[in-house]
Amino acid sequence: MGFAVRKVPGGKLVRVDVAEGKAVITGDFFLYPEELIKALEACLSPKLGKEELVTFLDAVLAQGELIGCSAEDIAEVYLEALR
Amino acid sequence: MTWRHIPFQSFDAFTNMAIDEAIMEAVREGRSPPTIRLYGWSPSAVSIGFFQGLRNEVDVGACQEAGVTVVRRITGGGAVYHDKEGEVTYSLIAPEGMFPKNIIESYRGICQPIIDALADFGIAAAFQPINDIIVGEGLNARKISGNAQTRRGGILLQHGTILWDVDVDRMFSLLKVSDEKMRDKLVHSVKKRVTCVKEYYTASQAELSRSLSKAFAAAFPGEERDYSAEEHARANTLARQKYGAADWNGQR
Repeated sequence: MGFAVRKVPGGKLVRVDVAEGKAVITGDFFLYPEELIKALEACLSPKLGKEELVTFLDAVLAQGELIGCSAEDIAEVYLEALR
Repeated sequence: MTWRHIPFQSFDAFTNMAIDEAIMEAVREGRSPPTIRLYGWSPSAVSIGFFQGLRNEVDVGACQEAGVTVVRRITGGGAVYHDKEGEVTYSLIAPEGMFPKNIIESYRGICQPIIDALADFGIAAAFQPINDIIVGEGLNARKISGNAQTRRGGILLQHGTILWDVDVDRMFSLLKVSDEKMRDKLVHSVKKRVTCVKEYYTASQAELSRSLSKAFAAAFPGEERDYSAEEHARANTLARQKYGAADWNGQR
């Protein structure tokens, strides 16, 4: 169980909590449509490296828009949370 | 298109969020015109963004003790302390086709009347992407209004607060601080980054409300009208079943 937080310069705060193999993304960013958050969380697997994580997150974000942080921020914060 | 302007009224936090959703439904179904409402929060409340972790952001025990209601919004963004006497909140609800597709540009357009209203008090404010209205520039920039937007089922909701009077110490007694040792430093730092109308002009909360009303009416012409009976009834249901429910507010 762990978490990591990042305040994106000029952007928003993003946090990832990991517990029992599940990841929860929280923060004060904006995501449209809001329901994509579950799909983003489903991308976060400990078996994936950073590039693969970003690829999967970007594929979800192609269906909408994320404002205040990026797929890369989410991937890096997730990997930090796992450590 | 003729807008409906609903004058300032105060409600509890659950009802405020429920009214927004009830009006979104009514506009979507063509039962109500595009609407701008002004409101206050009674009792004082904390609202958190849709994606925020409730217990990460809010000291739920302190809020309970203080009689401050906590509600999760359907919009993203951050945790906001809504003082009963400290601010005026607005919601704008309209078909999303009436505004630019680009989200930042739509924020800019909807925030312009707020900037115009602040100019009435001699306050030179400006829009700062993503979603803030600030006074001053660069390192001296201080936030006077925060805004949040969602688009659901073809309807745009943007709501935001304009600070009339701000008590940063009170705010931090209700919100969580990630590092308790940094609390004093954080409070001091936030006091330098946040401002309110009262720091510039001896206006009342009611005067701020009237100025905002006038500016929104100029930008989005229409008529003053109240909520419909249907919207009231639907809002009561949503306040009880959704916004007041632990599984909504505690969902993350």
